[in-house]
Amino acid sequence: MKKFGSIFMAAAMLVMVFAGLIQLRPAQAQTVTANGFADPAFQTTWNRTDSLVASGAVKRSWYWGPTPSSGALQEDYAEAKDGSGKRLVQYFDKSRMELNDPKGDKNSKFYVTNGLLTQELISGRMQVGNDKFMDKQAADIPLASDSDDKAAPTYASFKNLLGQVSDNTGDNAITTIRKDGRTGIDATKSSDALGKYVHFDETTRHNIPAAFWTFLNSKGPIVENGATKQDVQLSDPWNYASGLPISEPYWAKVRIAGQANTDVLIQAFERRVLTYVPSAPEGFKVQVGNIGQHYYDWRYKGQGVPPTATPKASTPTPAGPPAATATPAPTFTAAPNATIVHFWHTQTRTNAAELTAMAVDFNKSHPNIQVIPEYKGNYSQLLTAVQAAAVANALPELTVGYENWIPSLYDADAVVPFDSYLNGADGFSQADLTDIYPNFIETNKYAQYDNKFYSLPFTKSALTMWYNEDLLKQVGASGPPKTWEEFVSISKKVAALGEEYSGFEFENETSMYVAMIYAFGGTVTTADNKKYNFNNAGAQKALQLLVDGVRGGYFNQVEVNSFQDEIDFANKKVAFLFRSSTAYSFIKSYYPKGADGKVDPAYDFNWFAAVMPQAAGVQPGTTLYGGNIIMYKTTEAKQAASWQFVKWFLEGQQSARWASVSGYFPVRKSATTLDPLKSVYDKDAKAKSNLNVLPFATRSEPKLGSYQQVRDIISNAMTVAIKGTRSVTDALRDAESQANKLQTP
Amino acid sequence: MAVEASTRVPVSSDALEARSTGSKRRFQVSGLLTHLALIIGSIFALLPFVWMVATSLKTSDQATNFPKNADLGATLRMFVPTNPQWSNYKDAWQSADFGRYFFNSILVASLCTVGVLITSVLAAYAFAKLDFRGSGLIFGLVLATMMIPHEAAYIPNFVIVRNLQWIDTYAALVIPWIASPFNIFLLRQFFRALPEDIYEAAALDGCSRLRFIWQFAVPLSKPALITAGLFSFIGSWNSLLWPLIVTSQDSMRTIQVGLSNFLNSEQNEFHLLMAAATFTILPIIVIYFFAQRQFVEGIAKTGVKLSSPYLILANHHAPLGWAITAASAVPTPYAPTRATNGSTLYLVSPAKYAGPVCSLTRRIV
Repeated sequence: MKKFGSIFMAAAMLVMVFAGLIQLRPAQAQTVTANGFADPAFQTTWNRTDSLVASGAVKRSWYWGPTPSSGALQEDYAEAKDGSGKRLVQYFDKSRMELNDPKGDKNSKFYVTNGLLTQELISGRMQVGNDKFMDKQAADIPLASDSDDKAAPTYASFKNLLGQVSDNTGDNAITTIRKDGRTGIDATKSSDALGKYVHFDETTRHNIPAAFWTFLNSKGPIVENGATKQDVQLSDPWNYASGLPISEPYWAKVRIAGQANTDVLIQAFERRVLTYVPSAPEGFKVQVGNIGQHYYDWRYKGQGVPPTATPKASTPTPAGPPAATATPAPTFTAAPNATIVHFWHTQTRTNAAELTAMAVDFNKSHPNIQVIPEYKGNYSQLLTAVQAAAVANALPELTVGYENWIPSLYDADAVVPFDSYLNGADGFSQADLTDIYPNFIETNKYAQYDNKFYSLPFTKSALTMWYNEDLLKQVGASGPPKTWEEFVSISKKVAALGEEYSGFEFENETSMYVAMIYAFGGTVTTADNKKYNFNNAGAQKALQLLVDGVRGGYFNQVEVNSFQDEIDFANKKVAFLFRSSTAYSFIKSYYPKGADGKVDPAYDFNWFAAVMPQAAGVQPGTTLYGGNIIMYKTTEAKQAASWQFVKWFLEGQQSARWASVSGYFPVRKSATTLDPLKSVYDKDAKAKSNLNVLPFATRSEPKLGSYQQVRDIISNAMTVAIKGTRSVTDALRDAESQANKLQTP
Repeated sequence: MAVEASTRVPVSSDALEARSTGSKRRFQVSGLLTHLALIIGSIFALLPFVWMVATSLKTSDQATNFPKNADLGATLRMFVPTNPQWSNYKDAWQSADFGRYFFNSILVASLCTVGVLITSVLAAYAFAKLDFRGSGLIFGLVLATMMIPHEAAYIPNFVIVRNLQWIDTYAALVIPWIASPFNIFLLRQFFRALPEDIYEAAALDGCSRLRFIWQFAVPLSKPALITAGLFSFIGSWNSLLWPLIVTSQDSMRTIQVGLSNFLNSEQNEFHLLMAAATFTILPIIVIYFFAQRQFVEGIAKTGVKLSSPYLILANHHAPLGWAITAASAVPTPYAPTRATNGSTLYLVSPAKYAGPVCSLTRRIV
């Protein structure tokens, strides 16, 4: 029963044959003769990894090189144990082996060391003792390309790029380098999985991408004490051969094996230079540069030192940026050590494009920060992503979000208040703070959390009453209604104009109803903001108004998400609409079009924004909508960088720019006088009429954590009341008790 | 022998109807009614698709213009774009990197499908045929995972995927979804219907379980496998939230993320959305047309006990009570459709035979 089928037998045999081959080959490798090795210890070290490559038993790149590339050399070394001031070294393509103490423990991993060549080549300081250097010049030798590629980065290109950086684990290496040492960004590299930082070295403070980290920790067959061992770490410890990283990895376009424009990721380590070529065949993607050879040429042949005293005016050196032939379009310069700020948002299409463009501009003017906007679906999808990220400890630096997200994020200890940044040295001045509309900033202050700002305004809009002034005039009204009685009476007159007319059209939507409740002087939650309380006179009157209007035929209820109300309004058939202030551009898009797909210019009519009617004794107001920016607990540096972006985004100029494209309110008063927003307002009084509503947008929807679910409960209550299956009071009473069940802890 | 067998050939329902002359008209009427019901049903099923294609060719103002009253003419006109806007397709395609999204979705859905089939076949076979301690309990647990909504598993899954450093990789999009309790259940029901006799005979010929699964159970369950494969392909194709959570880079996004671009809290661009939806479901429709027959069969057969084995026998290993026969001795309707190379194992496809071959072969003895 348990016999394996022939396929499995065959597979097993294949595996055994291969295993046998691997076992057999190294035995032959042992016989490689020691010709040319300056010391038996050097050969042992070489044998460990490279004898197997030489014999063809394994396919991987050389650790040292096929053979020693120099004879035995005695180089200056002040700390030499024998007092000679010299040590035995030998060069290989990829390194220099050193014997610092011939009398030391031959079994020590560090009996043979390999030179700190990169450091010397980049700095131009030749090391002759642990603390003794001879000044030369940084090596102008290409480090990851064909040696005659004049445009490729050299060791000298890295000279100013050795500074420490912060932990960017999880981000991608996207910084580019050119021969002149200038860096840029290649956003297309943000999707290379092997270019993602997976390790941060705390000692030298540099990030190591997946390609190199995997390579440095790779395992395979090695030869030890004459025997082949399988699956052993090739470089033990991981930094034995390479040393620690001394630069970040940088992308470059170079010529490799005659292939111009080959992408290569280059990172300097103390002892080696690692390169990653995504287009190289498997097993050879990551390679160690021929630094031993480069160093030998630099030290002994005087190569890579620019001819200093030859300013020959007659021979024009290749002028301009050498990489001009290569670099693709979406790059812009930014410092290599930029702090990366991920900004999760919900914007799509033109808004998303504008947001990205703004981030690009910000990054240009703030070279130490790299803001990356990322679309994460709608608000509820974004919230799911944030919740998952909070649990997994993978929060972004910034997201958009609603006020009612804050309680759960606060409980999860995931959010940071803006207060210390707002009030800090690099914060907002008093003038700035008063320039921001007070109603926008107030809703972001959380009374339950010490009155701190756990969010700041981002996309602000308000529930607006859009009215058709022409229709109102037609029925004899002088302006937008101030009371609900006027509203009803105008609606009745407009509906009487014909069957296709309605006074007011609406979707069965909770936000709109909540705004009406407030306008009737009612409440949705209790004063302490802990429970729901919407079975009150205000709420009942508001719902009754809708019920009577629909039954009386002067209001029209349309399908949710059909936007039929906006369409009918655009078709001049409706007097009133309760929609967001951003509906302006959508209503315009619904103007009927001719056969040529264009709107007849003569079609335009007068319609404007106003605050909805208010019951007697109620202070005029409407609901403020929209998302805010939330900052998450990450690192001090990232939070500071995030604040820089938030601050910049909330400045007048950016506020005007964002409002003009997105249709959201400007966050600052001064923005209305700045282009491009000013010209939008000057051109169209309809758009500008939004400002009539803005100061009144003082109310916010409930901030209770369960509100998202309760919205559905409330809209169900509206449905049953309008259908007439329940009375207004019954429907609201049931909905309220259902809602409070969700709210009880 | 052949005579004996032929009396057992199932008689078609058409023939039965024809035999009774009086029922001919009744047949026509009932057939007509059946067809009418089916036609109406298909119209309802097709309407959303027609609306989708029609809307994809409208202008933005036409796209959302629904008739206010129950006006039949206006309702019908809703399904006919008067001024077809072919440019909607171009606009929708260009509004995001749909080429990349398509590539990602096809890759991810294909890998998920292959993964689901491999894990489901192995698990389902074990639950259906292997008798081991606790199999019922484990199967119950597997089924119980179906009660957990996907959304509830997102957070723990995300934590695992993040710890494995799979964010923004295909692994994150594929690997969490290559085990499907529903498909295990579906295939288990199908495998249970395979008579144990086939395996016993095959085992006597030296066939292992794994080889039996590969050479017999899988080919015999093609309809069920295609059904399971389609389900998992469509499921993966339609997923939105998970790709949003585990990817940030545009280059790793899938087709549904592209579609969601046309929806937002302020406004829906129905005409572009429907144009994008039309080209998005095309691959699914193409696959469905190719797999249609098996798909229907797979659904219809699930859980139905197949009454016949497909085995005729193996010559010198005939189990007790089974006859030794050669291919030539098998009556035509039961002609072997699959024979192992050079051996005497013959299988009759269930599609060709609905009666009990088992009793047939026993009679032959």
